Amino acid sequence: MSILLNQSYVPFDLGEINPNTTVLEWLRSNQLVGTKEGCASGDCGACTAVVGELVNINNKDLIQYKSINTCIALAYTLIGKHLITVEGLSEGEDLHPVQKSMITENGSQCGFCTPGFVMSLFALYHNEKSLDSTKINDALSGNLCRCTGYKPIISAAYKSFREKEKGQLDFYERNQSEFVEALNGLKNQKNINLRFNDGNKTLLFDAPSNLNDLSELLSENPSANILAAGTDLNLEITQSKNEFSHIVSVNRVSELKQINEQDSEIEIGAAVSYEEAKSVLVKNWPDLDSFLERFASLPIKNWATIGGNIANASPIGDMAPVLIALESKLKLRKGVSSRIIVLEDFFVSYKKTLLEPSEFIESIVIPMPSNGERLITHKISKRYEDDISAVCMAINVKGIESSSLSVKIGMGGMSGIPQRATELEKVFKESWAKDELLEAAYEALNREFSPFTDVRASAEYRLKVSAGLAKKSSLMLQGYAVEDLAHFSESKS
Amino acid sequence: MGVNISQKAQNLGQTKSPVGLPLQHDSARMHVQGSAQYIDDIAEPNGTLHVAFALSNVAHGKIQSINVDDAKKAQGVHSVLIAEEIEHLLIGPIRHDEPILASKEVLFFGQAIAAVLADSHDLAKKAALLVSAEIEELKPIVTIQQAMKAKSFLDDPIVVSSGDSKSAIKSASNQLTGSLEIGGQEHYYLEGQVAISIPTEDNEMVIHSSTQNPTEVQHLVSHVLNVPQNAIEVVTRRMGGGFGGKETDASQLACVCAIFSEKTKRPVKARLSRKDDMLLTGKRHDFVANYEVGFDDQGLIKGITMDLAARCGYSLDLSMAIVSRALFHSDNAYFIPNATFTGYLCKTNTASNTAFRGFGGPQGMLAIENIVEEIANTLGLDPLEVRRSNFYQKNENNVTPYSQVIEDNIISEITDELISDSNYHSRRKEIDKFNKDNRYLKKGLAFSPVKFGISFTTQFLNQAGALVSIYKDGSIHLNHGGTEMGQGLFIKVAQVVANEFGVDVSRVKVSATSTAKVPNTSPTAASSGSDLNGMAAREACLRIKSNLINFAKEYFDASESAIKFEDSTILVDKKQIPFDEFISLAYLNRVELFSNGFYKTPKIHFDPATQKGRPFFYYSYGACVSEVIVDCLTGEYKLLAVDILHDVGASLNPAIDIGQIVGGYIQGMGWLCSEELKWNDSGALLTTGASTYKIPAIGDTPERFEVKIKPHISNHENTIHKSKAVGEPPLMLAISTWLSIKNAIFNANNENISGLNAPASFEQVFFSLNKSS
Repeated sequence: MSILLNQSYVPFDLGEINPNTTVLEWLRSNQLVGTKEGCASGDCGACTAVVGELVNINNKDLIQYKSINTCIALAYTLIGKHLITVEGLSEGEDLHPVQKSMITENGSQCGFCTPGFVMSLFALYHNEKSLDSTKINDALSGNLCRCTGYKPIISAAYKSFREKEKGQLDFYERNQSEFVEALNGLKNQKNINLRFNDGNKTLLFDAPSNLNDLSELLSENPSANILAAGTDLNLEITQSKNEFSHIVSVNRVSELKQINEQDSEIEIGAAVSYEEAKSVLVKNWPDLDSFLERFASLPIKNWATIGGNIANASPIGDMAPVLIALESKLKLRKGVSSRIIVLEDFFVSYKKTLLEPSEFIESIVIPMPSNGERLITHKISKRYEDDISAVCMAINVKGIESSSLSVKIGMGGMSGIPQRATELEKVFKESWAKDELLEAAYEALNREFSPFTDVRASAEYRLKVSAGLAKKSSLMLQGYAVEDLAHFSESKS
Repeated sequence: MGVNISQKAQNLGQTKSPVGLPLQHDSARMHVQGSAQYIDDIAEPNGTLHVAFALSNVAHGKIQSINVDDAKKAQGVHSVLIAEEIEHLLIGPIRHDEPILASKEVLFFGQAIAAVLADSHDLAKKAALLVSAEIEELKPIVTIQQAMKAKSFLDDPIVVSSGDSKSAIKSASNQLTGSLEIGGQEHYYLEGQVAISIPTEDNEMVIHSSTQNPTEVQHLVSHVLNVPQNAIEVVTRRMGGGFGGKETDASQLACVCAIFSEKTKRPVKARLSRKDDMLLTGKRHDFVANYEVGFDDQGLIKGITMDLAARCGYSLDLSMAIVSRALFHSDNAYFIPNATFTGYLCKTNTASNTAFRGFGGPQGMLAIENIVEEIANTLGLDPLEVRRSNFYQKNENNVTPYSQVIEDNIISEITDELISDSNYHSRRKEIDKFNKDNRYLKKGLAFSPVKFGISFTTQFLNQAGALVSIYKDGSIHLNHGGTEMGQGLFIKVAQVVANEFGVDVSRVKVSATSTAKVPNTSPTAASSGSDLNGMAAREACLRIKSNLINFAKEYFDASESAIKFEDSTILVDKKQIPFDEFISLAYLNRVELFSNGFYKTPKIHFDPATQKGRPFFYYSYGACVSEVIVDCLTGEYKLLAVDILHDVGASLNPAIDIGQIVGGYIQGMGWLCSEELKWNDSGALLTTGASTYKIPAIGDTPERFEVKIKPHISNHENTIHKSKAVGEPPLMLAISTWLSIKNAIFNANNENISGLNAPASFEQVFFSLNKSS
């Protein structure tokens, strides 16, 4: 039950803790109070720390460092990993370049969000060779600051890279091989089966390392909670103050972390994180580059899994509409048997899916795009970064050059489930290049959906803006420059 | 980010004075290492217990019973407190009308009905959820409209008027009427409300509170515990953001901790979860402005009648002063010969709205800027020109509706400089062309000025004290009544102190604000922190200096003019003595090396009966130009460019001041753009976390963001080193951003003059663009 912590190569035992304990709670109860709680829901980034994991690239063991929200990650999910907190950056009196830059650029005012920014900047410093505004925005997309207005923090990011360009290596770069060795030494913690007695009851945490063990465990424990990253599930713990009595984590199951790219389809394991899946997705569907940028903050994308996002069945989870439009399928597993389900059939009603007790998602299978296929995605939210959709729309169009146009549209935020918009598909197919599309799209949407009014949008706006998005899509197909404003830049245009 | 170089040089002739230098925040090094201590980071004393509140899930109702049995039985729970067990139940900053826990009736959704004491924060929270209450629901008054209709007010309306607005409007060649809804704002300080009380001996207690007003916490705790104020010491080292949200709202937590500490004789800590904080504490007041204005064909305003109704919530809190300040800023930078501004204090079943950076000023200012924009659009004139022609003048047309003569007006100079720097006119032309060429994307451009009055409008608050001590080794310790919430007050005052003794700032330590060091302090609010505390600290330094000079005169047999404090030495004629050696010598010669200092703002006076007088010592000015692009198919927009020129007098610290300007602007932009509070019809606040309440994020920073301090100026009045307050005024620069959205909507359709409210959410912009009229 050990991790590596900050600058030490000696494994650090997490100790006897309740499996529901978050990384943040664990840190703060171990006197590492530099990491702050701002929201306890993964929305503000005051709790940001960096996690290093062993990866093998070209037969070489390396450590990949990524920022995470410690407030909604469970401590036990860090077993065998390297956790770096704000206390672990400076070497004695000598500050890390990102810390120095934050000081000289006046990047802190009240200072409460600062440790989180410093850690996101540290991950950026570690992972990127060069910098531009897109990279900075992505790296800091999960950090809220209420004092500075961000401008000096952006300056600090650039300034730290000027130091980096001088060839200055930080502690973790200089000592990577020692940390690789130390992490390899933690590999023996294979199947994890932890039991914790709180005086009244025993709480269980299991993290099997292979698919068969996982399906066996879930068959024996149909009521256990399946934990992928927990970026949504763990809100039950931190916000609703519930306690899970038996958690089965899938994040160590090696088969669920695979990506298989074949000629006709791509199969993505359910426990692959968004950041891990990004390159293969963007390579095949370039439109997803900007879409994934707005999908969630980087710390969430670093941790959250595609399988978790789908199994969670949120009507406003952004990936499902895209995968529906791409005619994706799910491979489900229960015990020793598997089945394949078309994704759009998977969602039954609000937060209800076809998943049976003990059944879980093994992988997502996406057909490769055909020649001339064009995916267009839109997201409407109150803020461009790190926000939940009011409406999400994905339109996949095939055969635009030929007469046999095929249109698949997936929508989020329009009903209790992510849903295909079949009526809109018909209208779009018929009149995508005509002036009356806007009105026709509205009528089609109005026939098929009765969206709700909530804090994010009114029902009427959801319908009308969806029609507007259909119109925008048609204009884009016709070659007009009406890209989403989230990425609009005067210097680019 | 450009710190204005000319500001650095402008150093009152002293070559090495720390005053005016762009020094970093005194805690910056600790901030970036995570070693700056906030209250929740302080190692808990042995035996510390934790509090959590049970909150009402009804906005208005009679409490029939509260069931705490399950909570009492829950794991780790020590006790559960309800209102009936509290002897001195009512607190509040002005009027004691806020029960620490709801008694007999609940008045807003999220009001605390019980407090649970348990072994840990988590166990207290869990047990608090087990408290249930039987409440006979009553119909809540949630909105301003409902309150106005029901005449539900906390006090009489406030009227600020001059001339005869009614007949001036009537006789003007043009009239315009309208209504503007102005949303509230959650503070969203990153550090939530938190306090810990530590009982010591003889009914004494030390309380660490994340508060802008340690004195008020001290006084209210002494009140609820029924002990003299001298038994309670309140300490505030720093806050993780305040913005007004910790001016009065910190008291409830501290009082509950103190009550439990008194009962258990143990340290007690309370910190609010984000959701509880958003439910329980007040926000910026939302307003509805109804206006009627008369103007000539050039857009010159002849008269305005405007009603400003504010949602105050269930109790008075600071609403009286906030509504007053809204009325005092309903002229902004414009001379209005005939004005009747009436403020209504709507009592609603919502959390008690409170101070928030600008303190009503922003709402009044937005209302008048909206009017001026609509006048220009009605007449088809460039709004900039209409603004210019209505500006206050220097020697005439310089009296406000509350009769203050404006003596320091620089708004025209600031405007001219900014219009030129930002290329306003050529950009206006480019935008017109862009809008002709694009059907679905439209751009908007807007300029707006800021004139903000500096001083507490509550007279007696304009006082401050400081305590400066020099130790035998020559290190200096500075205490004053101001609190540090990130705004850089401590470093600014330290610069003032270092300057007086001619030493490096590193020699001056500013430590936690404590009611035991300086008593009866005013809240750190109204942008007054450095004005008041800087002056008080300087006064303390001058008294110590006087002791030192007298000593040196005698000891070295020198004349006063031959004694100088500079470069960390004392210069007596040609003899140079290092500062620490001199201090040590002075100590051995029994010289008093510490002193208090006191300051009260001169010249101000105000008569509440007539609403006339001089409430403000001086004004701070600024101006902003914003450019935005709007997507007419979705209502989405993106802020493209912001140019700011702002007046801080002779800056004490340009780096800190630029930080306040940039940060204040973005916070104001959040208020007017993406931050939207929503309640349901039953009065339940629906936006209770960062997932639903969206403050600006990194990508909302405009691509072009030019921020400049107005160079080569100093305060017209005798303030600390001729500087000006900077905390609040920049927030209102963001009004230009809201106006630029309004301009884009107008550019999309020139019939579209009114209809945009604040905040300009994408949805609101969409419906404003697609108004069926």
